Amino acid sequence: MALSDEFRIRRILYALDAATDASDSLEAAAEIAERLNAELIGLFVEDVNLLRSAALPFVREINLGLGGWREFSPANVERDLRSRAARAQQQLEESARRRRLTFSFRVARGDVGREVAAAAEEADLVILEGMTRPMGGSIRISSSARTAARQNVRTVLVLRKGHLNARQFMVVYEGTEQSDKALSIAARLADTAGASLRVLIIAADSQSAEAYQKRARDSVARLGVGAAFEVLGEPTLIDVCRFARRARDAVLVIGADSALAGGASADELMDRIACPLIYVR
Amino acid sequence: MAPPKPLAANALARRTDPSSLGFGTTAEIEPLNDALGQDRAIEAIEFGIGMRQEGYNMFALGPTGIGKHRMVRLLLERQAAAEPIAPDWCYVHNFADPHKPRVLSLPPGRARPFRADMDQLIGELRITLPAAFESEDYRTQRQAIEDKMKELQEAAFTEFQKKAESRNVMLIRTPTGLALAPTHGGEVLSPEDFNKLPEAQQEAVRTEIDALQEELQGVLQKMPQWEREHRTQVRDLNRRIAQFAIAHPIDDLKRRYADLPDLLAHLDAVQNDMVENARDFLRSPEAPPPSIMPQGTMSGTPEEVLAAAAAFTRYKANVIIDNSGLKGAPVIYEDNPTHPNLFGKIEHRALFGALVTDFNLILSGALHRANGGYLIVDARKVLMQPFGWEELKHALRSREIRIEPPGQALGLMGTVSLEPQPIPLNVKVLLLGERQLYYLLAAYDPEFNELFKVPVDFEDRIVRGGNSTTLFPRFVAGLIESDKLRPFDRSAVAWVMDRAARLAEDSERLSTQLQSVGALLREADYWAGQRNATVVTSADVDKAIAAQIRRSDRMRERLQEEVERGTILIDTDGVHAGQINGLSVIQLGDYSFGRPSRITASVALGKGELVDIEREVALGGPLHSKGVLILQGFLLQRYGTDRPLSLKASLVFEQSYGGVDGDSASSTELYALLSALSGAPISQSLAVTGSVNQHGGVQAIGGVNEKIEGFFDLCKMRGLTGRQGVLIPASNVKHLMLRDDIVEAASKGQFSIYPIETIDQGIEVLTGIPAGDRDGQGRYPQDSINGRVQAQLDALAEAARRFAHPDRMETTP
Repeated sequence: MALSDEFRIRRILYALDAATDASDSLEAAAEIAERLNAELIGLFVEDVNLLRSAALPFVREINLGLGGWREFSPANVERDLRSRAARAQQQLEESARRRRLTFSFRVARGDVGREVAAAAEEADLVILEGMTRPMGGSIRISSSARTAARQNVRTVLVLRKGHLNARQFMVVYEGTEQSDKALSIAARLADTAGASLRVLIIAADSQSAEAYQKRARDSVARLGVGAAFEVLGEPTLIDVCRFARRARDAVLVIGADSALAGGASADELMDRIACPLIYVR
Repeated sequence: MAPPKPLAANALARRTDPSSLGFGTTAEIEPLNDALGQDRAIEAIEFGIGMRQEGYNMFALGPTGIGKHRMVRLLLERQAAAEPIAPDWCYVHNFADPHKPRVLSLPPGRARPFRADMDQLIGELRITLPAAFESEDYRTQRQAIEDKMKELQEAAFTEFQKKAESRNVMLIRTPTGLALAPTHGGEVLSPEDFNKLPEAQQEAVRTEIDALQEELQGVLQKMPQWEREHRTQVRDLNRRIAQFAIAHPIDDLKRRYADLPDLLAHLDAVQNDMVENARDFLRSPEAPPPSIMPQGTMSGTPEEVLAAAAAFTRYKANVIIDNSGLKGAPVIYEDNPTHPNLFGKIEHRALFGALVTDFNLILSGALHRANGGYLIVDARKVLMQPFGWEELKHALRSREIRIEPPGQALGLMGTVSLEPQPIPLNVKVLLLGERQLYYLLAAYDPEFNELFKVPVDFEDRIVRGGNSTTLFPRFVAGLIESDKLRPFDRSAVAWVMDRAARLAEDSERLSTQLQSVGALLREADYWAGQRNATVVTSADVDKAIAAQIRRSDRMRERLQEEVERGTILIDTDGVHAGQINGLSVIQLGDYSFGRPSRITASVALGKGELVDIEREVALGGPLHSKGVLILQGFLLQRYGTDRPLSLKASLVFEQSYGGVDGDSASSTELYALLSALSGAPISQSLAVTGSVNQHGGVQAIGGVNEKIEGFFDLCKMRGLTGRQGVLIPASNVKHLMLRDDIVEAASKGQFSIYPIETIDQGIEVLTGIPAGDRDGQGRYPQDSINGRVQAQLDALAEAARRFAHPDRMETTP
């Protein structure tokens, strides 16, 4: 399949911080890089807020496994960060070499959002883990890295709990430029992953729906990818989320200019859906 | 007493006149399928069947080959056909105690459908349960629970985060937990910036953070509770969904088996277990559960494989008894009554190097199959099997079948195994065995008489003549019919009857030895087939008998050869004192033949001792020794009433290198002894058989026909002289069923059979000298055998006296 160079993803940034569980999500990022034949850039951000907190003598840490508050020393945090960064680097290098990817890895210290946003300037796609490591039981909270998705960075793929066993790419198509880009990226990923492509046509009226559908059909036909089309009329974001939820192992692909999203950031969308999300900008 | 005359030829064998049978061939007569002459046994079996009380099991006793099994089976099957069909049995999982599988009894023919129903239920649920859990309804409800949980968590954290942010405090995810830090402008204060704050403000910040920490801890402490509630809600939902999906097919089954309360209780247990373990059904219905793959590879961890293997098998039904094909009560014959074959067994399967089992690997035994009916077992075989006899008695006593490996019963197995629920036992056991075995068990096993109260004693012969003239041909016709043989003409049947009399060793009896008679019929049929005949004749029977003998008589021929070649010394002509031809029978397998043996006696001065050389060298059996001691008694009674016997006599079977037993040679030995004492030579043309009592009476012996034939064959080989013959006890005359060639020789005066009643008669035939009777003074005539013996004994006594008192000898004139 020949994808137009305009939407070509050549560099993928995989960003994480100390609260992210890298093991699964990093592997998923490497797999996508392999499929798209893209360069993989690893970024480990040492959260400056975390370091500052540790330096404040009265700040304590509650251990989620053991419970109870305890001392929280800068030295321990520094050591922990170095250790995690080294492990992430090693894992990325092993995975990338195994897949024969072009890759790099670096460690930055600063505000996680800002550092990721800055690094994203050089990438076509940013991959983030949406959730932190478990906090005991199944409880997780939004990752610090995900805050980067609030920034106006590039196209973002937000994973959930590291998994990307996509059987279906479900793309929201509203006839916009970013819808076209979303369709193109989804088609490329579906094709390389052997997954199905489902296009949700969203239009205010039937005439527009027909036009959008024709345009989308033409696009995927040009790309040589099979797709299923579904006209949803004027659904709410909740309706689309329900769709995504019904489809097992689906990845929702949506443009940042989607009227449906109503200007919600990828971070906000993630809170509403239960599947991985590609937020195309 | 005058010496007996030789028997007339017609006394040597009683032949059946074919024309007296009244039919042409056996095709014209009604076959007799019942046993012949077994009225006593039939009555006993009928009694044993009718007695339903405990302990009235049966023991069919009688020699091998008389058709005990055939007849017992015939009678039992006849009776069983009129009795109700026994129930089916199956083992199922015990959900309360998996090591003790439960047993279910179902009306005959319903166990297999039940098993199929359970299999179908499993198959159905493997489709419908995943579908139920895939349904929109379930997923919506499940998502609602997840959402509620998530909302609860997020609400708690969001609220807390907002509160913290409103107080310029940030919640930070640390590598291993959470921390709260003061902020300014959305960033955490550095220590330097914090230190620049006024002391009061610093304190306020610390206080604020302490309070928030406490609050955060409160939020976090709620998490496990929420998790538990979440799990409970998911479990309840799963249970409801599973209950709904399972209820319909299970209710169908319950309606089908509404008449079986035990089975309904089992279905309830199945339903509860399925609801609790619905996850087992959520694997893809197309994919078999993890198990041992055909190539021996495993899928999943050992624990997974074991769990998956147990997942569905525990709902199955293991039908161990299916009586759907029966028309009445079962009649089972167990030919190989090993412990597992009788009582069932629990098989094991190798899995990951260990042996595992479950109730599906329980196998039934003969007792299970015979339950509600009859079990036939060979007593000897069951006694030979380790634990077989004891366990059989235990089962009959306790009236239940317990499947338990012998090692487990003995406490030798430490591993956990199954203890299947015992099955109530209602069976009549019929043991088959020889009489000796029955009497041994009755004597030495106290429980035997309690459990086997009904002896079924089989006759192995019937009286010849009367009814048997009609019944025996019908009996033969029955065997011919069951073996699908050619019809026998009356001459053949007459020959078979004669042979049956010979097998009975009695001209007045017929053998009912099914095995021997049946074999003769089949072999005669074979020879008839060889000459393409459609009817079996007496020639075929004759050929069959001759062929039977020919196949077995190699040893007889070799022995006769050695006699002929002079290796074994047997005279058939001339006279000799102290030497006589005795006759013995050699039994090789099922073939026996007579063998002449030279017996010699020698006498010398002694103290009244009679030395049995066979006994001295431990080659004589107890009966032979008894016979020799009887001789001593005879000598004492006849010659030693007024003085001690001062002789030492020895007796020996010449050229005998095997054992000798039986007392049938005792008269022979006595003749040899009398000859040695009297010096009267014995005719070597004659041979002798018969036992003797202390008064000189000759008594019946066994194998008379074989013995005569043995000597006749030797004489015939050397040439019949007309002087040759055999002395037999007169009481054995009725047992004579001799071969035609002997009868013919006798009729021509070439060979004689002398019926002897007393020793005196016999010695006169053997020596040609009268035995002699006592006169008024108690003295025997001087030239008689007794007189010569008496004189010899007197001389020996005198010699002994002189030897003991030499002085008196010298002074006596």
